Amino acid sequence: MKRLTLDEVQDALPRLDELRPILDHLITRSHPDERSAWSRSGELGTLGARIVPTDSLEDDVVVVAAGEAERLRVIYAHIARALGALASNDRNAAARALLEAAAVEEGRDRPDRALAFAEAAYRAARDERDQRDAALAMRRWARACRAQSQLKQSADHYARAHEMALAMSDNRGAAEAAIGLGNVLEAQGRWQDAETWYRRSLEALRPTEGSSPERWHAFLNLHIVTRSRGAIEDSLRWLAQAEEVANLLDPVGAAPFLENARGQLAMARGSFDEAEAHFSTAIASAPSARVRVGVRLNLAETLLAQKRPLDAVEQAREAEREALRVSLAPKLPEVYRMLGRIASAQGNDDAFVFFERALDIIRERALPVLEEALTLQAYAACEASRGEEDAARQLHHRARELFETLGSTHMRQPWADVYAPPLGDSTHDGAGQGGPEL
Amino acid sequence: VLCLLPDVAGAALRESVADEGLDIVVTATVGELISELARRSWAATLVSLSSDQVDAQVVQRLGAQKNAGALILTTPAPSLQWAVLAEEAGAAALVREPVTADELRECLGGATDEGRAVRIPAADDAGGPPGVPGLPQLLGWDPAMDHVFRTIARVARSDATVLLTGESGTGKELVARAIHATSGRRDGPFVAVNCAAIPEHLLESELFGHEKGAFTGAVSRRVGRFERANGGTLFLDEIGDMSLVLQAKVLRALEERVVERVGGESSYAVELRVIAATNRDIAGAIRDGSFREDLYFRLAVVELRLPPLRDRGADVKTLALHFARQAAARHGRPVRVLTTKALRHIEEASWPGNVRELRNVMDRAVLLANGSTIRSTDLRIGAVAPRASAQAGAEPHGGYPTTLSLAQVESDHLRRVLESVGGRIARAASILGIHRNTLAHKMREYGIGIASSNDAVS
Repeated sequence: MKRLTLDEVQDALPRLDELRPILDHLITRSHPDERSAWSRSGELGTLGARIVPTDSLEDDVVVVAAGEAERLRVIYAHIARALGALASNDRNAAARALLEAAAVEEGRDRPDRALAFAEAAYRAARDERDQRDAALAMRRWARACRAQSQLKQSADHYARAHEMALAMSDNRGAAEAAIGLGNVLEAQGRWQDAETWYRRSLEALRPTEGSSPERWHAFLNLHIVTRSRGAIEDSLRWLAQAEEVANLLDPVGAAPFLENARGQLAMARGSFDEAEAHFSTAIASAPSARVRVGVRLNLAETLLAQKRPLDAVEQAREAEREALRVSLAPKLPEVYRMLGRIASAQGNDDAFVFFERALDIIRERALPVLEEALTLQAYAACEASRGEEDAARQLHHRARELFETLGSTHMRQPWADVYAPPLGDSTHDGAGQGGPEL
Repeated sequence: VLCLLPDVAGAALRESVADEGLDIVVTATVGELISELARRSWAATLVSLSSDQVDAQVVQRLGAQKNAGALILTTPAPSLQWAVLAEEAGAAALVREPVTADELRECLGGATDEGRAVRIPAADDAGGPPGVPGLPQLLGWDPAMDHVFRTIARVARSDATVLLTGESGTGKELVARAIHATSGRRDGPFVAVNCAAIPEHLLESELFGHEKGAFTGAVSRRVGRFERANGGTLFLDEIGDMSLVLQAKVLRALEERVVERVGGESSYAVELRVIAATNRDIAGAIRDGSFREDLYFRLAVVELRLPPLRDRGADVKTLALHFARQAAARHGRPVRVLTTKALRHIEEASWPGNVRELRNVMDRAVLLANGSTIRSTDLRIGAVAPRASAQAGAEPHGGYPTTLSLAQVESDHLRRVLESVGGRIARAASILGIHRNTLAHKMREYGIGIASSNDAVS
């Protein structure tokens, strides 16, 4: 029987949204071609070259279809509840049901769909006297916009949600909106502005007693932005405060994120041995594949900086394997950027295949513009290093244009960041650095 | 083992290791010690820091002695200063006096277990192997390589197209570079392209270039690899994986020496030599119609098959030592010796990834080595594939093997964590979330060597 690669499967199928679950399933079951394990092409292998096992496909399809049917049943149930609430003239309950549907879509990395449900939820609740659900819907809408790289809209929505929360004296809601807006500004590279909004979230929280998940996120994100702008001492202080809050809330849950932060701090100081130890500890206690993928890429960055490309490749490949295992395709462009940079650093003229693959995935899955901008930026550096000055200039120009459409003040550094986890009972938007939620 | 020890301690040591078959030579002064080192090389040099004659300078000097083998320092009171000095001097171990037979065995890489040390030759050692001038990395001592060297020398004088065949990792690109470097085109460019790694829709424009706007994404004019190699050599790696459509275009370019950019109106002449390579069964590919016979004849004017590493018996050891030396220099590590057990593992391995795999294994071993010695536990043979879990079926059930017992998983995990932290027990225990005594207990239970732990020497 002929061995099919993922590229061959994709070429054979029409690009229909309904087929994506099957494709995602095939991706999780795919494996590298063992015949190229030690060849140069194996070193440069990406998603499309993986082999798809087709032996049990008919049985698998039944399982995939059942999963999809269950997802639809849940979404439809939320919609039925929303319509029932509307019929009872309880528009806030309708908004809450629509937000539940948004959460389902968000949970499977479909911010485009989550955005549509959150927007509908806001429309349902916006004219109600009690504005709490409208404000929550506005924050979820803003979060979905950010995940879609619609940063300007996201910033507007967060600012509006902040005003709404303040008007209702909803301190935690105001803090969440302020953190969300800080995250958008951070994604735009506007660290000073982001810092202002994170501080504003702490001001909003001041009247509340004790520690809260919002405070944890605010402190950790303040640590990240101050580190990004080179204020290492400030950054250390914020990290200590984040740790203090985490110890009260959930020290075990926070540990991998604190270790990751320490690792990045060590990297910023050029202490790569120390960074490596922190990242290794963070990986061992990371709560999910998504977090492990991010930390592994940070570890790969450290190893690359130490001129240990073999180890860096191993970590990046492990990140790829984890991302594929749990169908985390949106993380693959980040993985391939890393592999491309390693191959480029080793003088491999064919390193560009990683960036091309990352761009393919970004376009096929309509991933955020920020991903594309970061990929083009890294691709430009790769082309420049192999003497393709013209191509490098063009890629750099396109990257800059995309960053400008995002409202970014300057290009981002290639380092991957991992975001603060939700601690305690909050589901609020505490994530930082412009990436997907945890 | 050459020792600088007080008389009493030397006699006691000689007696305690009498059954180990170790040759213990005790000197009383630093001067004598240096003279012995100048005279011959040693598996290990053991020096007591309690001697009045030994200071930081002496230790540094001994660390730089290429004849010293594994440097073992002993002291009645280990301190941070001595530990730092030992590390800086590349000492294999720093142990508390009096040294017991067990400790010595462990420090020597487990003399009974790991065997004596084999010195990694310095770069400037005389009696080097036959190689290609200007290309020291293309090494071979085994008769299997004689034919390779002779063919390189012969074809270098001509412009004949060469087809290199052989398994992955046998050094086909190095041979192509060697042919280029020894040919009359050596001042021209050497351009390599991997035909299997580049997706087909990109490969054509990568080979022949494209004009601006030729297709979506063609944001600027790109010079193809044929054009970049003009006046030099074009290396088409893994050509056996190229599609038939592209094979036809490459054949035309080879026959007419003219190429046309994608989306271009005119063609341009190229003057270059082509070397192609494949790890596939090209005859089989011709039979099943996936490779053009006419292209094969065009490429294989001279065909050179590179032997797999397992057929180059005499080369394995020397290449391993060579790669260890290179890696030690590259990473700034004081690695100078391999134990005989490590070497035996290297010589007995099947090396499916050939020289590339051996180089990777030695690179990793140098990084994992504790002090100046590479032990068998530092070798990750079969685990250093360039792609994680590349073997088919290695990722059943979502990448997780389901045929292992809990004990196997725990044992494997402990080993991996210990490896990831360079054998530091305290750090490993912290990652594993268990007390270091618990970890030590589990290591004993699973027979995980203490030799892989840095903590063992502190």
